[in-house]
Amino acid sequence: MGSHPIHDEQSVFLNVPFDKGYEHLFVALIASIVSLGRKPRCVLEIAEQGQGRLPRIIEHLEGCRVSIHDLSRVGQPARFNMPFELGLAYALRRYKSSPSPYFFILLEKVRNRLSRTLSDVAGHDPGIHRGRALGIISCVLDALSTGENDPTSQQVYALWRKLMKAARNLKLSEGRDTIFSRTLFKRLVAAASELGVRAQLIHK
Amino acid sequence: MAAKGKRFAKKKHRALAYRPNTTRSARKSHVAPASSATEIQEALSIGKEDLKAALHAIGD
Repeated sequence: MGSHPIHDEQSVFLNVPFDKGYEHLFVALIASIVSLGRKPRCVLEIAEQGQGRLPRIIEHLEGCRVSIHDLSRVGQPARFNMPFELGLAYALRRYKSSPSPYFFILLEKVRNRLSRTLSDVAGHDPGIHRGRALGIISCVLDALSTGENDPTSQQVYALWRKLMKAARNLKLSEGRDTIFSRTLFKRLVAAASELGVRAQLIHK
Repeated sequence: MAAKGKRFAKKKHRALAYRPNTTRSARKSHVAPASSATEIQEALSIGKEDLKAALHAIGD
């Protein structure tokens, strides 16, 4: 459907909860990744063609060099999607030969919780965002910044505020109550990239 | 003079002992150049209609 993922050094796969309570953090992830000149990718952008969700997720994971996994959705009802997809990412990292290494970034809301909820990933320290946009921005910049021409947390935060406004407008114009749709995801990334150019964080 | 030589040797030793942060260096060594807005939009197959809607949403 035109967006078939090919291996891209700058693509970052987002494995996060698609629920209303996570919207502001999802927008913060998009703002951070675009501000770094990287490409946010997620399963939302591939049209369903009857092959199911899982092949689409694997296909996308294979196309990205980095993946971000937010494991903060614990409690009732239990959500197994994020840990499951982290397992897929881990298998890719472990068994797939690639010219450049694949790596993943873990996020959590609460410090020290991951060691109880998913002790298998002991040794991989998650970024703790405390459910706040600035926390997410800081975690992503910390993990993906290169030290050259990187934006500051405050610059990305300013972009996030504008992008939140754009997200509200996009939802209104499409008559949707969440941003988790293929169309809105693409438009949100388009808005983030345009705002990034205006803030002189990325090139046109 | 001997004391000065000793101090210099100590400084030189420190300079040689310095190693950059290996994690960050490793990260930098395999990072491709940042993508432009056009490259980001092309990768996601963002069409004219999407771009138009995005610009409208940001108040253009």
